Amino acid sequence: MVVGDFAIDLDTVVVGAGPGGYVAAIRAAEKGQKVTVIEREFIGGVCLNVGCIPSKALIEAAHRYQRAMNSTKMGLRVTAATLDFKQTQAWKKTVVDKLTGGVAGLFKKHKIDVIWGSAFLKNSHSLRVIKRDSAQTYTFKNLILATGSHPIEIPNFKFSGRVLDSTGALDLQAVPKNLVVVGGGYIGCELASAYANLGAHVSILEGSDRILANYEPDLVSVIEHHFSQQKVDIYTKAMAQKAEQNDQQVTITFKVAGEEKKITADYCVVCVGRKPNTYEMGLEHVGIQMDQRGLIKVDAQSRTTVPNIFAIGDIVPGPALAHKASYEGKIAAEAISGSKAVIDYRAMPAVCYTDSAIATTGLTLKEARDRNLDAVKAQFPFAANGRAISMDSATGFVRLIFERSSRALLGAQMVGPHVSDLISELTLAIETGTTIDDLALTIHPHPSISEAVLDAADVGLGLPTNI
Amino acid sequence: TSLPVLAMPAVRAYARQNSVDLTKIKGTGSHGHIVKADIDQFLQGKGNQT
Repeated sequence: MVVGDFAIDLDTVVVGAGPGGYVAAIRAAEKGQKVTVIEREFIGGVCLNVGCIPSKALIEAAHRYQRAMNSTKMGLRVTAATLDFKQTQAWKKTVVDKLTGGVAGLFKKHKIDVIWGSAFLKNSHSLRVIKRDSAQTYTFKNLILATGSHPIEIPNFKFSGRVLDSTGALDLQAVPKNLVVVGGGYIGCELASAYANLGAHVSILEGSDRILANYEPDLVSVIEHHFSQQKVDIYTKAMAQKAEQNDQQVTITFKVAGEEKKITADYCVVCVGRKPNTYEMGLEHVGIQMDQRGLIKVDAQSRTTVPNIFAIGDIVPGPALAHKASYEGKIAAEAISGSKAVIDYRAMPAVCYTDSAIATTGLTLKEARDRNLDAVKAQFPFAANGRAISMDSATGFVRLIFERSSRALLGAQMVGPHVSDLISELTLAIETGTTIDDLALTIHPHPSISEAVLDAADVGLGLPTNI
Repeated sequence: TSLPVLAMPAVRAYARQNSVDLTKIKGTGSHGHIVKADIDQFLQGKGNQT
């Protein structure tokens, strides 16, 4: 027996303080549970510290820098826009600190204790926390696992020095002259777009036949057009072979159509995907079932195959999105409190914060038809939206997917200005069983980007007034 | 596949808390929406079955 190994009894324990874990902890406390959070790295998890929030801060700064330099047609001539990237990074840090500090404050408000360390399950009611220089066993009544995910490493691209993961790419202290992004998914494309705006020459290497392969081609073509204007080089069907680095640079070797190519750059960012943090925690020993990808099997209440242990967020199936994790966290917390709450949503919004952004919710036309729904689409271009034109951002479109006879909204896809906020109206519409008639009869303010929703609904009704 | 049951998210949650299967209820709201009152009626055993 190790000295001090008397188990300490706890009630509800949440492992991980990311958007799934911290929301679960707060909701559980609101429902009257005594909650303890175990966290090994940082309050707020990947999202607040090295994901959603810092990436959006960098994207915003990059966007403003570009706007400052490229608004001459509006008569704005900024003769010497300069970028102090150290200041940009310092500002980004204040954004992160403010939000993580906010979560810590909420924990205090709800009397949620935080134990710093890594958790290992001993059995279905106890776990051991390995701290910096000690270890302690705790028992729990209920456990919510919210351990998140981490970037996948690929062979011959070991993360170190000039080969970065997304975290490293967000923390560069100077804008690289040349940057190679391996992986053209949404994380890779957001980073590519931000650094291109900041002045880097960016190359994207994507293994499949197009970037942003999760999105429909016509949405992506708008982004591809932006990338070509930013002089971003996109190599598709490109297989990254190896990265060789010295103190100054990194050379990436890759194959396209059987031909070997090399690019030398200041840095290489590898964003080929994320892997669930479900290994080396003893999960399998206590009977928690996982699939081949390491994702934990859960029921509609986020309950694992061990009844008092729940799992949420990136470690369970479904899109790896912060808002999905938070939603699941609330359900798990309420289930532990005896509520019959279940995961029951009809539309999961997703946003890619490139320049312009893509936003989607609900079903695509193909997904709807694959489900044997008699689905049709209606589309309206931002080129006919007065607000978009006045913003000099009249690219992209809003597309609505609806059922032909009932005209109930099933999904929406859009690319263009402010779509990350516009998508919420349509997510609500899907959740509430709204028809395109309802959308068309809802007065949208003029001029606004949101009018494109009303106009797309009018198109769907066969009564367009603005195109 | 048909369209999902017409009910607002909070009504779906209310049904769940009361162990009511929404597919067994006929909605009386606009477009045939199931409203909270329909669930209450159903729980009081006053018919409303499809």
